[in-house]
Amino acid sequence: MNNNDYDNSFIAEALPAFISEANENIETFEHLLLQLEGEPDNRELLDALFRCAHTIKGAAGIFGLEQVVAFTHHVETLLDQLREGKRVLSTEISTLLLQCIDQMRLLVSAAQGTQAEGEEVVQAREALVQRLHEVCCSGCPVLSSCNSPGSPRPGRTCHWQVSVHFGQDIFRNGMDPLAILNYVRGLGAISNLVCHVCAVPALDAIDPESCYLGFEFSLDTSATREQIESAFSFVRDECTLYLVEPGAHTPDLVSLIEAIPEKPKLGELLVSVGAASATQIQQSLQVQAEVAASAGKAPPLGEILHAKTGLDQQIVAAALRKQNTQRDSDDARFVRVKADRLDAVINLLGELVIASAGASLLARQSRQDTLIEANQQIGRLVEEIRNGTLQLRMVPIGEVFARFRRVVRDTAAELGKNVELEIAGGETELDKTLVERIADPLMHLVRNALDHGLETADERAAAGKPTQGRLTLSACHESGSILIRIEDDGRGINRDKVLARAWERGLLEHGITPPDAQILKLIFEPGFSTAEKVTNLSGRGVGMDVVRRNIEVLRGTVALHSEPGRGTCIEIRLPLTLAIIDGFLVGVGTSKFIFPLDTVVEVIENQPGTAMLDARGCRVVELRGHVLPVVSLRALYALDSPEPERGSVVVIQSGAASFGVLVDQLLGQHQTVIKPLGRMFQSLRGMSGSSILGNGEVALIFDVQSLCQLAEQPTSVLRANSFSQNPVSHQ
Amino acid sequence: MDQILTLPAELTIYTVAELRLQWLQLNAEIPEASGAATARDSWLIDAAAVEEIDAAGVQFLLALWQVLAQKKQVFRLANLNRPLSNALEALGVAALLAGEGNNGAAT
Repeated sequence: MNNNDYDNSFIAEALPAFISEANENIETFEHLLLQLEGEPDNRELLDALFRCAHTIKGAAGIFGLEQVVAFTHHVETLLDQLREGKRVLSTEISTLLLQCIDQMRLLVSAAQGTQAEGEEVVQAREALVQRLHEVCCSGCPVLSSCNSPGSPRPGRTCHWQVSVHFGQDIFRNGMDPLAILNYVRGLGAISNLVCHVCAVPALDAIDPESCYLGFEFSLDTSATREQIESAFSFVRDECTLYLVEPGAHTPDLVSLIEAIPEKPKLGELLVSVGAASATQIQQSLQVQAEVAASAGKAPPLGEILHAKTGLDQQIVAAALRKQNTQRDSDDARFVRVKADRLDAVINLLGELVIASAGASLLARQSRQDTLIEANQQIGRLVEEIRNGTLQLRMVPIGEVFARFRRVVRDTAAELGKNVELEIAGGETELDKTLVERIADPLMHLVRNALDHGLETADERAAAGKPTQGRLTLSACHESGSILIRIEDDGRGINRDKVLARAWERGLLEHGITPPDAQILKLIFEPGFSTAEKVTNLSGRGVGMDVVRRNIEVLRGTVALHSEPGRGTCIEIRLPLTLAIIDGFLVGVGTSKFIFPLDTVVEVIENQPGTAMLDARGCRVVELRGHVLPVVSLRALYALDSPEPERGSVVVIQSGAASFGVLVDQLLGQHQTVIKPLGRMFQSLRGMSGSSILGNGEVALIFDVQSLCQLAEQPTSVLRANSFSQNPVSHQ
Repeated sequence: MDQILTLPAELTIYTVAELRLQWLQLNAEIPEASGAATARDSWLIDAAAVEEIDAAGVQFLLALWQVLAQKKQVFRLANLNRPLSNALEALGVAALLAGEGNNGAAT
């Protein structure tokens, strides 16, 4: 392969990784920007923002994605101005940057394909570049007052504290820190120069062409901050530079201390940030030694320094913290794993669970105690591995929630409404595939709330509400499920309108008013919408039923609560995992079925003759004074085997409703690996999957939600068996 | 007796990689002295020939200092001339590398 082919194949292989990382960086960029809007003076955020853009540009450059590089470069120019305090982040600028982010996303995804871009896209991009130019060259630059209070007047010599850590590629890019420092010397007098030798690896381990050098020094100069920084301009992007001005306060020194990447001695630390002089340290050390010699115990250096020089305890504390803490970078804590590898492992784990169940069964049959015990041990370990492995696929839902900040901001602005988005429980974890598939339904519900639920500021004021509307996204775990809530304090759902619309569309017989809960549920019917105006966002009536269906596909449920004038709350419940669950095995005749264990509440005995029918002809059973609808599996699936004398009723909880299921045998707890039903069986009522038992039999897994609905139907609708019963009365 | 590493005229980014290999090789060739270890504990870095130096070169010396310090070996920089001592001063490591008692006591 010649060089060209080699390059091309490298690029082809590495491009997906670049795309995914670039997308991540763009997300981070957006996230930082939205944060920055709330804290426009936060220097660290600004720097991080710039670094983000720079990384995207750099990586794109490697892959020869000229357009991405060129566009991002313009964005960088603006960011640079923000960083240097020449411009302040206004709403206008941040909106522009957000538009640039969208453009960058387009560019990155275009890099994957080979189709040419549409005219409008190219034009839109050029318009943005134009805007960026205008903003960068516009008006009088505003000197930011945040990071240089009382900037020294040129002409006066001031004492600066400088800390610089050069990036690893400095040498390779042709830069020489020696030359840079000599240049800085030309600006003034350098003193207390400390080189961070500890950061340089030993010669047998070092890559001598990478740069590991970092320095701290004091600089007496009459130059301005910009002039000092410009000495580092060629390496600015690749090094970490801190300039602490004259008269720096404790917090600045503290943050300077915290920024030092490795852990020198306490005295060195303090000298290097200019908090104490070398002689002071020396004297204090001497005192420390003397006291240690006489009293046997060495007093802390910090105390001595404080007593001798009045050094602020806070500074010493920060220095000590620096020494003691281990800075473990985020990189060390996370490992990137390809999703399909994880899925493969989980698949194998499923097989392992089944195989281990089979082995346990044989062991039990052999009646050898030691063998049975050994298999039990295996079973326990497999269960632990199972729990651990399924955890691997859990991600915090906060990632999805965070995306909505942008949506809410943009949409509220578009609609001219003032809305604050609150997020709670972002650390709640759920399965990765769930997270991806719940994002769209959530998006729709959020948009609905913004569009229809929340009123404009004027309307709210007229109704005596605070002008700022509140939209809350929250998530928490609840008995084996995850509960996601979308709450708004808007105008609520107008029941009368819903009723009227339902009558109009023939969804309900005219004049019949079902209970409130039913009315609200109507909203989920296809084609339903009470919106008078169809907007871009919602009102077309194709939304809510799709939302509900998407949620049901994930074996979840959605419920609505609303109070007119006060607001609406939508609750989505999703099961925690999709792959392996704890199941409860039951038998009916020769067939086996499994219930998700967390839905089983209790089991009661069922004697023939105790089953009754209620007014609608639904089978029921009495449980502690309450009436419990019951489904007979034998009847439901028309199973032929004779009914035993004594069956059982398994009481199942589905959301807020309970119902019973009539079965023959109870076979106990079972680790259930969920295998999806084939496409042929998708329409099977009440089933959500199948599982293979230890002896090779197949058990069907219930979908309790739909089973619950079946339980509420009259027996005549189910395929009845020869079960003697009272005559059925129709509704 | 000291092990000797002779620095070339150019101690810069262009030469440090090769110099490192040179040192590694020299280091590997030292026979294991049975018993007393003094023979191979001391390195003399002869800087007489150095005319050009940059930060990469100084970093090289620092890295060498580090590895010797780890092995508790003596690091001695000898025959310094102006370019080298200026560079060491400029980067604040003159006392460390060229000062007294540089036997690599790790900080």
